Amino acid sequence: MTEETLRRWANVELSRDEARDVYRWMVRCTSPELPTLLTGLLRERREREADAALRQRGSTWPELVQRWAQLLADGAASWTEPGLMPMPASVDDEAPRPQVWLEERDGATRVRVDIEEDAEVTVFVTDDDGGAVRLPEASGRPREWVLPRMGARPTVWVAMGTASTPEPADVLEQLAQRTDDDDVAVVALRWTDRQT
Amino acid sequence: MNAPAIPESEEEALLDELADALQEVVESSCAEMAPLWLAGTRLARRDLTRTVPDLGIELSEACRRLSRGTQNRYRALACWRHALVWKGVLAEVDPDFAQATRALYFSPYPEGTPPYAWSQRVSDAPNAAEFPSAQTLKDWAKEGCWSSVEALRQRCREHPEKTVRDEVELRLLKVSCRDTLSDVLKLDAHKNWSKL
Repeated sequence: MTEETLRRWANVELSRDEARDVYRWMVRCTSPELPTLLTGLLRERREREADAALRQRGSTWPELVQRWAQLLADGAASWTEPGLMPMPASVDDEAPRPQVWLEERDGATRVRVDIEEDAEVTVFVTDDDGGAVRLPEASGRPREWVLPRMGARPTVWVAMGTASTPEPADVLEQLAQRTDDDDVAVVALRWTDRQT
Repeated sequence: MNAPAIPESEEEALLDELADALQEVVESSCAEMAPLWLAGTRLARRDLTRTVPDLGIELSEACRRLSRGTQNRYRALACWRHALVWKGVLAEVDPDFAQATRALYFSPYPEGTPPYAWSQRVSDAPNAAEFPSAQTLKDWAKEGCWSSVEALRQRCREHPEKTVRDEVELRLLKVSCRDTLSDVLKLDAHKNWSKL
């Protein structure tokens, strides 16, 4: 068994017999690093599959982006300027407000969210060309995501209380059904060429 | 601990059982069950390691991003699932409770959701409509979990320790029971209630 074989198992469908060989090898391997490696490989695969699924539904994105925009118009989400910014008060009046900001570092644009580690946060990026991508889950404090290349006028959407919803449409649905007691909030950020 | 400890024929049979159960758990929930089970049973499997080399790899950024606390929390759940499949424990549980347990813990999760998805969103479980209500499904699943862990504990109490294979099996079963009720299935209150 080699790392390449393991990566192949994590990335493609093997036959049942081949898969059994991999599972047998796993049972016998007690390297403490293996579970972490496997988790990482499987997560990477899921992220790639999720991105591919998003791209396949490209025709639905213009409508989805319009619905995101409607969130802003309805006041269900709020615009912020690049930089350090407070979250809407609807998150939790008592708790310290989460902080969200964008920054350029090491040649990449990053979104960072300073929020309690057990809080659920989902980040999407949309653009005016109808593109939309859900960024993978992140942990730590602050949480950080590297933003992918997008089309015209990309917008970052940070949704809190929505980590269990796998798709942007689900977030929208959750927001539509929310009550005053819900802990769901969305903020939109847009970065420009002026940002440094 | 790489010295052979189990006669080869017994080791092969045990490897097949464990590997098949692991594959079934992955297929009936999510791929992340494999690394979680491996991490949870590493010490208990140490006598099964016949010259399986370390991979000697540098972990990816995706691996380093993973929350260690979250992984720890899910490990016991993966071990419990594996033991149930390995020993066919659910067949001994009340059919309604077993069906509910299968619905929440042995139904494949959608892409991008954590291993705990259905027990967190009971009404979204694939077979939820087969139960009188979401609350009933949740209650019955708890009963099923409780009964299954009790059955596992009973097996531990009655398990022979005549051979090395017996010892390995017992260690794995004990790992599968340990901390499951309080840390993963959150059945402390339920446990106390059941004893009244």
